[in-house]
Amino acid sequence: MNAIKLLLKSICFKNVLFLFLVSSFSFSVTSCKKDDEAESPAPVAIIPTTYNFENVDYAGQTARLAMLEALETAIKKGATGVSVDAQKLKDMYANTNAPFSDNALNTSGKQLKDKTYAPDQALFESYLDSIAVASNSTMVAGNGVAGIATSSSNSSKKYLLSAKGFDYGALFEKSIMGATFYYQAVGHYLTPDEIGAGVDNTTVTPGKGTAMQHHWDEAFGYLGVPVDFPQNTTGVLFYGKYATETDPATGLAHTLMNAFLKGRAAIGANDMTVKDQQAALIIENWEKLVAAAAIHELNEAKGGFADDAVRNHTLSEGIGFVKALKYNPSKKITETKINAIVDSFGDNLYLVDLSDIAAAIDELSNIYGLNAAKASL
Amino acid sequence: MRQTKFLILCLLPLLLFSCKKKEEKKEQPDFDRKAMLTNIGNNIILPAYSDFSQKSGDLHAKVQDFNKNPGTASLTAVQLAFKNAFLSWEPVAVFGFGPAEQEALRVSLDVYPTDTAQINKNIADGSTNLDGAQNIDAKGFPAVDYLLFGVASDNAGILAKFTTDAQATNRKAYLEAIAAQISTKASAVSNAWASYLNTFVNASGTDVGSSVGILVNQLNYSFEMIKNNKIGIPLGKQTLGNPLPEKTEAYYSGISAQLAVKHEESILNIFLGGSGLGFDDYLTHLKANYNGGSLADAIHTQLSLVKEKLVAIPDPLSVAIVNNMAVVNTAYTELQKTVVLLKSDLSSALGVLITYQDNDGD
Repeated sequence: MNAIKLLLKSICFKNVLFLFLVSSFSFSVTSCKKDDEAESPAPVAIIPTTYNFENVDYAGQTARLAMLEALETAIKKGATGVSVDAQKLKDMYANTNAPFSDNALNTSGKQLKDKTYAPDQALFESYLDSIAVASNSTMVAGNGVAGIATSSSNSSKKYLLSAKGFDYGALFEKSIMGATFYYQAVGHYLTPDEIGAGVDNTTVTPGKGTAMQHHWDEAFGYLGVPVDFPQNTTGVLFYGKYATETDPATGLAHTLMNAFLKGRAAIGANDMTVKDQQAALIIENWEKLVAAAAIHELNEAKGGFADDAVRNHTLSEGIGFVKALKYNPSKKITETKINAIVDSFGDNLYLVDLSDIAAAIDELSNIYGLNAAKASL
Repeated sequence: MRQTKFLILCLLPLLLFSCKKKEEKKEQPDFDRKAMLTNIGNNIILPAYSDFSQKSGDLHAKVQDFNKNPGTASLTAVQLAFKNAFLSWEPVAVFGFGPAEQEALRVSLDVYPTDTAQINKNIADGSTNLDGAQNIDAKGFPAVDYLLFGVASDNAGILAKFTTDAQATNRKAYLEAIAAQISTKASAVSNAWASYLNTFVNASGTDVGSSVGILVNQLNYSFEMIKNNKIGIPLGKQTLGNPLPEKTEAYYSGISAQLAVKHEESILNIFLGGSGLGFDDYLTHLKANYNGGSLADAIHTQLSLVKEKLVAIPDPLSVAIVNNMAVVNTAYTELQKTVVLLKSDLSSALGVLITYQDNDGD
């Protein structure tokens, strides 16, 4: 906002100087046109290349990304022979009983659970239970036996699998990225309730901007990227990682970042048309990113098909992403189709068909226009 | 042509110089806030409570009639009394402060969806004690809504629940307890307002705790209740567009849309001060502008538009959100648009701070 104002001011000033000379002998003018010109929405003149706007705060999002990282670390201990306590994981999920080693997270007042799509919170807790159950096994994983599976090609790759081959840690992480980060961004912050005509874009709260700016920033916070993404990819998290990995084939990292920058600048310039266009672009392309991530993992499962550990782990990740597609209220794919893809893998990943994985990849790439890119994901 | 251009060039600098904003409204005599509060208190709040108290009393009386003499006629009569009492609640539901806060009116009378399992448990236990957190959603209008309209699929079945059913006696006692509580609380608050009015009128500043400050906050809070609780949540705004019919305010009697209209009308009426001094006059006095027009007109127009869109929703709302989604969506969109007018434009024009918590924890 301020940048735009400055720009307008400087234009105004130059004109004044110039025109003052031209009109110095004109003296009979008494009135001026009112606000109309001055207040009509200024076009988005400057789109910065980094997310260094004034009054940006997405500390809550940053905290939740860090919480999921910590939760992931705790879950992965189950693949090292440690028995994982389900309650401890649930405490981390809901940030109760000071569960984090970083005390700043304990006292942040933020949590993952209350930002998870409400009807599915219990489902995610049941995944955490399943992780704990599997981690209690002292057996080597195999069809019908829960435990730790070791990759046949790389013995450093170990995964905790259920008796039916599901890696609930992977399933939890990838689908909760959908039910929490993605859902909050595209199903909450970027909807008319939070950035539409009913939302204040006048009153600036220092450090947070207007309500509309703040909501936009909070959506951005869930992308998990640095302010100068994608030139800089240091410290990318979750969707930031997948955007980086899939960008060469899809350009999604650039598309998403540009839309966030342009939309934020548009809000500053009170250009609601451009803001709405960019919000729609983000929603569309974030969905595409989730699909690309799913295809990426399914490709890995295909590639490692003969390796039970790798296949079941990456397939669990892929299924997690397919499930994540659900959390967009204006999604391209139908819920019926999502369920059909998930069901196509059956309830035992030791018995999955290679052709089912290939079919799922084709289905997704057809829906999302990723046919050309699918092999490179 | 040339000359025109030249003339424009000559005019421009002056125009630009004067673009400095014409924000500096100068001191003018204060708006008579006390007169506005007196009008709203005497001509809107007191009559609304009196109506509410009377209709709640009537509901209680009709419940007693029904319990004494359960039949088709007395059931229909108590059902009608219920609808009238529930509808009369909406206009006062806006005033969640002072005596209403003392009596915890909102959380005692209108928590929905009602917990039918808890209600049935209380009935089975023969308990008519409505205290305790477990009963917060087992009493008030939504609980009566269930008992009088939802315990069976038709009136013959409902009647049986109060006559031949094994728990008929307990059920009658529970219904009586809820109706009595509604009536008691309604008359308590209505009576308390007679003396509270003086406090209300004399807190005529605009600071936190002033009546204008409280009213503006309550108008906003209440308006957001319509948008979120009455319409948005049932419409699936928090569940990926999947509608949740059972989350409507009067799910069993099916008058939820009418209740929303009543509530919204009441907000509009307070804004206009009925036919006397209201917030519209206050804004006009302050010369508050909005998009080149007056803010008072903008809010008036928008609140009227919202009313029109809410009226267009056919009851039962629980069916409309599935079969008439577009109509409900239109109303929701207009509700959304109104929030900024009330929450940002109105409050900042009046210098009122919005103090209730609605942030979602960032």
